[in-house]
Amino acid sequence: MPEDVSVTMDPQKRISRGEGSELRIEIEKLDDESTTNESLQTVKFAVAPKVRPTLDEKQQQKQQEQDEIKTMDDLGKAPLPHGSHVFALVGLFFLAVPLWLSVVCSWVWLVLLGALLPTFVVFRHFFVKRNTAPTPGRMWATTLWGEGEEPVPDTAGLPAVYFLFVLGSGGHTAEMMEIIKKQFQGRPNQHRRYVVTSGDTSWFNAMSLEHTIFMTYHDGNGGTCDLFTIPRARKVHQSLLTSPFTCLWTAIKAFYALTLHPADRPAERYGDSYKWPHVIVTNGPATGFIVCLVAHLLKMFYLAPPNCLKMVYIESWARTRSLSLTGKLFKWTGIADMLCVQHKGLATKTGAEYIGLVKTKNVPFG
Amino acid sequence: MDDDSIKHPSGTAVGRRCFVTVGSIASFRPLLSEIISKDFLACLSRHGYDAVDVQCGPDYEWFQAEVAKLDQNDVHAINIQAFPYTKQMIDYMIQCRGEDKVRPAGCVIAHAGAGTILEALRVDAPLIAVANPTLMDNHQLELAEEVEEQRWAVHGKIGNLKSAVEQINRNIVQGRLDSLPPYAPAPFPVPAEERITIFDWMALTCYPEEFARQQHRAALLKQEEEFRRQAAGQGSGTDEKGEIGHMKYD
Repeated sequence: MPEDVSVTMDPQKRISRGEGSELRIEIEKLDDESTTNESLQTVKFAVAPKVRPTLDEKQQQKQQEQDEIKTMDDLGKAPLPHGSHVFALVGLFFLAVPLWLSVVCSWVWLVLLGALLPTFVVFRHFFVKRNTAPTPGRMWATTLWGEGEEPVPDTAGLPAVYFLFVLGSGGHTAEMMEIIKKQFQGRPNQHRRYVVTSGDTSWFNAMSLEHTIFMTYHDGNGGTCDLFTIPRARKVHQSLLTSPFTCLWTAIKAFYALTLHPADRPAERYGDSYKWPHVIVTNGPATGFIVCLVAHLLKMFYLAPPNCLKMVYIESWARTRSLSLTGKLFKWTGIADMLCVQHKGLATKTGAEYIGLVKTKNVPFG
Repeated sequence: MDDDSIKHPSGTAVGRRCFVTVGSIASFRPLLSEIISKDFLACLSRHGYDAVDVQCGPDYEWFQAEVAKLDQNDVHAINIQAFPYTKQMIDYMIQCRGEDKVRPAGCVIAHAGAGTILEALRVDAPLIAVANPTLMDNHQLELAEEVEEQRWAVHGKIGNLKSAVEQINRNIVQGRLDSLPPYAPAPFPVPAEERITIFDWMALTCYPEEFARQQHRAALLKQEEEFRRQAAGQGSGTDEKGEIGHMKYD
């Protein structure tokens, strides 16, 4: 009987899963079993082949739970890295053993923790490093078009693109500004955060660039930006005794710069898409290395999801045959997802990625 | 050779300017004293230079005193101007850039600092890069040699700057640097085909599925382009080539 059966469509589900044909049926009134089954049969064939009769409440709940998990995945919540549950189990085991032993005698607990923590750190370090971006060689440098199509790479369709630029001082900043200008492309989904060191005029460069962007893109296609100041890691002529403390202070401030949600992209509207920077770009000073180290630690201790905080280090144009100290640190620790140099000879020597920044002159020379 | 360079077809080969810069921090007296040496000034005069602007950094007073000591016969009516530091470096460099029917090309003689070299290259001014050997482990030498290898500039050596100026003059004649179009600053945002796309690729790696999709598409596009180039090479028709250009940039 038609009046006994009401068919409702769940709008939320339709939006979240992107399918129009999914229907949920609720039977409000039951006269007797036979009629219900009959009416259901008719509805099933009349509306859509995908209709799923959910008579059993338990089954229904189970299905809902499963659906929720699916939609969460669809929305881009980063899936756990392959095999991470194995590591979690191993970690649990290693945690459970000292806890049990701590009941037996307390010093064993301390000793084991002292041994296990470094093991965990080393383990995670190499695990996170393994997940760094693949290097497809020259593909990185290309901008390609199909016939009447959008260029590749195309970032316009992504939910969020969040860059974090660490500015150094003097020549480093000037070079970084050139790089930012040369890669810039107006996109409404882009957010840029500039991290500058205190007692420096880099913020002025960043703000004048943002002013130019604002004047070029009146319609908001230039994206949003904000600026963060962190203290200098080591001042000129500072003694080596006190520098670890200033470095620690810088690291704490860098933690804030990495984790604080951009004010222009509130979580109420954009959700978690702007929670973590996607790409960290630095080109020189020690502060940049500290920011990247903090980012690496965040990934190591499961505080940040693995699919964010990608690090790019760009060696200064002045270095033609050897890496600078910061460059060597990045190469040695291997925390950077991509190490870029600006001279071909250096690229072949160090195995870094070559990005030619200076356009070759088209005049015959020499 | 030298006489040929002076009688340049444009007819304006006199009135070249030279801009010397040593950076703001480090002192570079060997270069400054070579600039005002008798031989070098004679060489400049012979090649049609009549003005030298010198940014001398911390050695400003010393340089002024040295210039005052010069004999007027040795100066060859070259106008030497000195100042300690300027923020408008680019204006002086543009003065050394040849422009059609405005001025002939001169040259920039600079310490081999990365920022200075980049700035000179940006305005297309002929450049002589001189490494300052007094700096920490002579790190500028590396860059000076590299830019000469890439033919972006001429590596000038202290004690033999004359040959670098001769080389620059040969370059000016070969590259027709006296008649360049007016200087225009680089457009912003840069044209799409000149963009650095590496950060976009990195952002895409945060979305693995989209990244894989676009990588695949890029590979396909690249293959297609290669096929088309091969086809164009076999057909040897100019029409086909034009069509490719249209497809790529339109």
